[in-house]
Amino acid sequence: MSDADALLVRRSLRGEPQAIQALIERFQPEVFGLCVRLLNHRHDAEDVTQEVFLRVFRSLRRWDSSRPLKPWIMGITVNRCRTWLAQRVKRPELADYLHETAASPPADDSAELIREIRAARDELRREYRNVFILFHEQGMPYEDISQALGKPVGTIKTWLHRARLEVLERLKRRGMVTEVEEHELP
Amino acid sequence: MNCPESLEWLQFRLDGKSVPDATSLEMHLSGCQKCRDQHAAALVLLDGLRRTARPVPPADLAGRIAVRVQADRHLRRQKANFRWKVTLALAASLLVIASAGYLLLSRPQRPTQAPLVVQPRKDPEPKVPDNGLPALRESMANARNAVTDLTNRLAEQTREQTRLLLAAAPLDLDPMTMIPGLNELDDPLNPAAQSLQTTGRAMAEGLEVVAGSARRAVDFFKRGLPALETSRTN
Repeated sequence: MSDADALLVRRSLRGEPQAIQALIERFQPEVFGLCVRLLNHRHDAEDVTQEVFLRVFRSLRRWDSSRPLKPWIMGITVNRCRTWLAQRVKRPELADYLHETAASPPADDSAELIREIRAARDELRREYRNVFILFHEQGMPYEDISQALGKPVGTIKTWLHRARLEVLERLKRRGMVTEVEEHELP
Repeated sequence: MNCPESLEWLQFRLDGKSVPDATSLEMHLSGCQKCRDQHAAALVLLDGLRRTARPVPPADLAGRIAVRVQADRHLRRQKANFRWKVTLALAASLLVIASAGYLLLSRPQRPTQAPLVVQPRKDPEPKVPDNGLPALRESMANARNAVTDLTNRLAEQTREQTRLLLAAAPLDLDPMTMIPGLNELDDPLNPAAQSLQTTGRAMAEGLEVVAGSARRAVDFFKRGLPALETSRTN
């Protein structure tokens, strides 16, 4: 864990308002982004983001300071989103999501591609989906995902590889993959 | 290179790493349509993921979260203080109840109502004196026998003396009017008085024997029993 994170945590535990604000601002974008991707609903993502930080500060004393802070927070986020999803019926919010999350929608047909990728991702079983989002959309490495989900790195790799193959198969089935020439492959 | 190896390199590519042996991979892909399609799909996926916009949180979300966190901390502190106070109050109440109970139970009792507790003294057992005297039971039996013998002897002597007295006394005298005075009892020449004196001496001697046996029996009884200590609980 970085020294800056450690100092921020100590000051937050002492109750310093500036430290609490700084800790929230540091991790809020990633927490919110993960909530949006897991819940597919912006308003729910705001509520769950608040719940996540409430739990973070309630549990901050029990956090193992020898481990990085971000995977621990992301693990709480995944759990809270799972609980939230279990308590509500899924709603088709993809259209709203696309309008609200991007500053401006892309001009080309990548919107359709993005929609297909998201649909393929949402069809995955929960474990595969979480790992796929954490790696490809949150940009977390295998080790951090392993810590966040509490699973071995090998398991995380296996889940991610299977998730990719399923997404690729769906993209091919949906006609999103065109024939490419050999020389176009990197 | 074969298809499983090609698939492994596919995962490398999706991990964002460069393929170690690009030449071999290209050669395999050129001859395997299935693997070529897989790698093409992987490129499409990576492209789509790059184009996916990162969700942007509302500008005031961080501030709202901070306010809620502070309010939650304050509320939890208040609850913790309240729990502490309740716990202390309960503990104090229990302490008061326990102290009152202890004081009530340990109050000194009135002397007239104090039960008499007899506890054996923890002294070593008294040694039976080794002077030839019989044990307690034997002494009691001896005393009983002595009393019985004496009683029989007294009765026999009384009968004998009475016969002598009656034989010496005139027939027409009323025995009830002939109770001799003390002085007459001392007259050695009076056969009736002599008889009475003899009877009295015999009775005294017999009673002395009985008294001695009784004294011995009581002594052995006292020595044989464990010493008793009486204590009164306060």
